[in-house]
Amino acid sequence: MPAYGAITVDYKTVNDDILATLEPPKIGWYLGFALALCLVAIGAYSWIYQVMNGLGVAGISHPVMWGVYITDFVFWVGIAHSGTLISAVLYLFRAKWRVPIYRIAEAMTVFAVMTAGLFPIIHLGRPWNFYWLLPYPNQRYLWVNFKSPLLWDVFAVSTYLTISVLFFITGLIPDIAAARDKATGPRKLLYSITSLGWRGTGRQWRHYVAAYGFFAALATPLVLSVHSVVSWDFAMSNVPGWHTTIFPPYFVAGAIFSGLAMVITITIPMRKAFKLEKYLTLWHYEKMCQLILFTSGIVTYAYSIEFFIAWYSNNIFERYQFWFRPFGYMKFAFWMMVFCNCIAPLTLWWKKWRTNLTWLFILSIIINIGMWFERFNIILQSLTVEYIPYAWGPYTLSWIDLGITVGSFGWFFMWLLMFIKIFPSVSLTEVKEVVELPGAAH
Amino acid sequence: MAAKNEYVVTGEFGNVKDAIAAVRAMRAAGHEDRLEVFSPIPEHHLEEALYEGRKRSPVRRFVLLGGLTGCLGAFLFTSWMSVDYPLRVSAKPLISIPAFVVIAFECTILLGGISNLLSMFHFSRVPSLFRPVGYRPVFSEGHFGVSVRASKEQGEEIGSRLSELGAEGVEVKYVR
Repeated sequence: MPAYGAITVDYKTVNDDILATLEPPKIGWYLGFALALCLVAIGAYSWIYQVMNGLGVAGISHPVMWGVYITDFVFWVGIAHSGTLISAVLYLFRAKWRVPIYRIAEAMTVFAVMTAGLFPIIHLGRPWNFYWLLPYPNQRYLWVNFKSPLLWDVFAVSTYLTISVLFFITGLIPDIAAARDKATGPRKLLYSITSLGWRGTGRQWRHYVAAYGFFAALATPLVLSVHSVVSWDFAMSNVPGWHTTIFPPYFVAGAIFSGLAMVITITIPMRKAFKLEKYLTLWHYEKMCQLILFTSGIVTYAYSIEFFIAWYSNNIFERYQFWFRPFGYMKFAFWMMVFCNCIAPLTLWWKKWRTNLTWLFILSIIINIGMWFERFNIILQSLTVEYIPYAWGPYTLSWIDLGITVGSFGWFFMWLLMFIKIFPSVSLTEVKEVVELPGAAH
Repeated sequence: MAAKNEYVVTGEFGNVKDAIAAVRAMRAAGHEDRLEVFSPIPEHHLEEALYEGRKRSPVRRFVLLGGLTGCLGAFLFTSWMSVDYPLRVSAKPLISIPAFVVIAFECTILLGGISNLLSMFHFSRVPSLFRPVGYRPVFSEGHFGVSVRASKEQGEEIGSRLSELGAEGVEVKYVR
């Protein structure tokens, strides 16, 4: 059955087209990479300044002890999630539209978790003691508190990073083997080592397919658990605005929403630069847009239900919190969130907008700004006005917070830009599996 | 890997249907245990032809084993550590199973995933330093290879049979 969006080319063309992405970069790549390095330098400088001078230089102060760093942490963990959705969940559902985007989405997952993992450490007063979070035998006979959601987070995020990396490597091995067979010089050596001597024998594929399926089956509940655990960092406490049971599904939907937007932000320039229009068609973007619309609907519903429950609970603290969000002195962040996450994505109901890549690129950035503000609202607005007014207090953003936030974007894109020039950013093997061979009869 | 003093006959096929036909023909001719294929993609019809009637990949047992180890191990270490260093939180029991479920879940996935990867590496013989006899770079690009280990007399016969079945370049290599 030739589906709309199917690709009719032979294996050799697929091989050549995708390996062409590994050719020496052009000026645009160097400019992007230089910009990423500058941002990393800003972030590094800010962090070193904070380590030398203490956590007081960041914007957090009583009662807002979780600030932009935790916002960034949740944001980056969220970005990671749609990579696993695309690579694992859609694999189990045999959704063919995942094929050309899954590799880059998986790379995005790995690099976004690497970015997210930095934030809890940056947020520590003594970051050199970060390993105290792990249960290791020590002279003081102390063990960690397994009843704390923060410790669950350590396990969830480190498991997520490990499994994402292993899954990513598994997918890459046959592709690196294909690159090895075409490469020369130092690249040949690199690919010979990293392909681990893969030859695509019947025996290898037999176990590979089994293992790949298991990875997908393991990663699917994992991805749901990780953002649920992240949401429990909030929901397990009794802060008004945090203590709700809706948080896990609300966070998971939000994560997929923002991650898909990030996939669009990354793939639109990549598709153009690498001339991948044949493989990454408007059909694929339409599928992503449908999922974005769906998850946008879920987050919009979650926002409204929070207000309904605040009113229905008849709890004055909860009610005040949800009056404060749209009408308090941080209302800008709330209305930004509503515009970016609930209103702007509505344009995707129209095919004209959904297939306009310029608009999709702009919208994907709008969505990610909105999702950053969503976390900002949840974390900072809730802590600003908690219980007794005597203990309320504002948050002032410092240049350190901004420097580190900007630096995290540089760090993420630095890895991503390096990756797309070293390893195939579109899966050769999986594209070969779905292409329609010329003249093939069905 | 081929044993010593053997010939390895490898035929290259431009499409998977011919390769599957060749695999079936070779199995019918009794070369079942001396047969290997090379393929650019995991093609399940080819796998069926090659492994028909054989057991499924044993990787699944190791995933289960790893997962169970992770789950049990996590319940054991969280419980033991909570008793070894008693830390009362909100008057909850020291061994609070619901809280430990999260840790146990993550460890199940972690060890299940690691043993999945390692058992896959083990059974598919990677990392491997050796290039299998008969392998050609074109097999990772788009062609399929069917390779049979045989004695000298059989080798020539198999070679001509593979050509009949549509193999493009049949190559016979002597393994010393």
